[in-house]
Amino acid sequence: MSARHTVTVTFNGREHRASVPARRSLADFLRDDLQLTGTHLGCEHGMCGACTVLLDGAAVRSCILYAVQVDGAQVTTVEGLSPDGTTLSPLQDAFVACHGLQCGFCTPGMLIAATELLRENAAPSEDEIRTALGGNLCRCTGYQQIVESVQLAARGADAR
Amino acid sequence: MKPVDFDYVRPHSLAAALAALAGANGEAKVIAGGQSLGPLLNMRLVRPALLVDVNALPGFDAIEEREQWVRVGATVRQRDAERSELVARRLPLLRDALPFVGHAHTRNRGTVVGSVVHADPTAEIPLVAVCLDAVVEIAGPRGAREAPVADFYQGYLATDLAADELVVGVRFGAHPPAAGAVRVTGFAEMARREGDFAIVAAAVQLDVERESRRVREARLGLAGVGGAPVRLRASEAALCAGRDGASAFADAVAAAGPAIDPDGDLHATAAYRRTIAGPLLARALRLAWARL
Repeated sequence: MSARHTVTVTFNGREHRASVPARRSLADFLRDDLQLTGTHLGCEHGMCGACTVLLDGAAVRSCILYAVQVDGAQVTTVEGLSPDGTTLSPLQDAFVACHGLQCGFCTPGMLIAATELLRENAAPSEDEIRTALGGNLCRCTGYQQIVESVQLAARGADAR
Repeated sequence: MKPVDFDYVRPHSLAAALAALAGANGEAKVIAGGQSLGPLLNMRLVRPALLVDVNALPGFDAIEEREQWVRVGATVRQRDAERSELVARRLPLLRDALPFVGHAHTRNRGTVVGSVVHADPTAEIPLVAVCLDAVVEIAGPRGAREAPVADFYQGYLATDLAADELVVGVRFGAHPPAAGAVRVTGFAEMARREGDFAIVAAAVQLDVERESRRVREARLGLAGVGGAPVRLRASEAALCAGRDGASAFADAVAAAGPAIDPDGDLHATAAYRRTIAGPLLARALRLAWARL
């Protein structure tokens, strides 16, 4: 019990080595150990999608994964979406342009979910966007502007 | 929300995994995708001393086909099954059901076999397993054994799996349709929100003669109407007895009523489940028939 485990994980392109108890969720590891507080914790049981991150390219809930499980993996959080750490990605720009966020709590999960969607489907329909974001809850926007943000990002900067 | 303090191992061989389970005196839980176990851990509804992670076991992520079945290994992700050409070709009913299982982000991690073993009576994959006479492959300290999924399920979230055993794969029945027959499938469910567990789900697989449109073989089932998915044998017989399949839909739906005995819970009353079961079965039948 209380045994600690050494994990080596690449977060946003930077390799980290740490010692964690088995029960530490990936989300808590991100926020408390790595100070990557962009990943938000809403429900902490896999329901709301706020904590979604990319694990080896696939969007997953980081609150129901344990840090020990991702040893050797590549993890991308919302902090890793920026191409250079200072400017926003085209998707993030689109969220700004379309008012795709109000309080911002769900936004990291929405951005990760939309990033996975646009990587797999560069020109999604509205239905496909709503299905892809269906596992992410937002209590502010009513979702309309979030969908519009993803549509704008899919059309690309030229169409703006 | 934090789980109890537990330890963790990720063995690289089946023997090591079984040894870890055997050494835990019934206090271990097996984790594959963790999409059901994770919430249960975080809410402390389960309090294991040890998690045995099967994700590094070699060969467990394979999907294999033979003439009579398709075998899904214990760590095959639901999302990978959804994208699999083999699954689409040989297990069209599973392919139909997968988009209803949670959301893409839970399917990225959740496994087909984990869902079968978790045995939630409203889950889609166990319903498919029951309809396709799936066989659960089990490894344990007393050797390997197999259990037909209908026997494996013993009521709400309860299975015939001992604490020192591990499910290594599930074989879904996939025998070819008879000569001259074509296989069509349909899946329908009612859920409060897209991605939720079903209140009631209906699954249909029909082998239909092309010329006569007679049903040669029918596999019908309902989930959310009791402690485990229910096969609708009388409805299947009614379809096969019909002059052509569609003419017997009403008889098949009527025969489903006596086959189910739903319970009420937080999500829906027993009466509501009974009320929507028939129309959902009819919808799944029409979806299948429309593919002829």
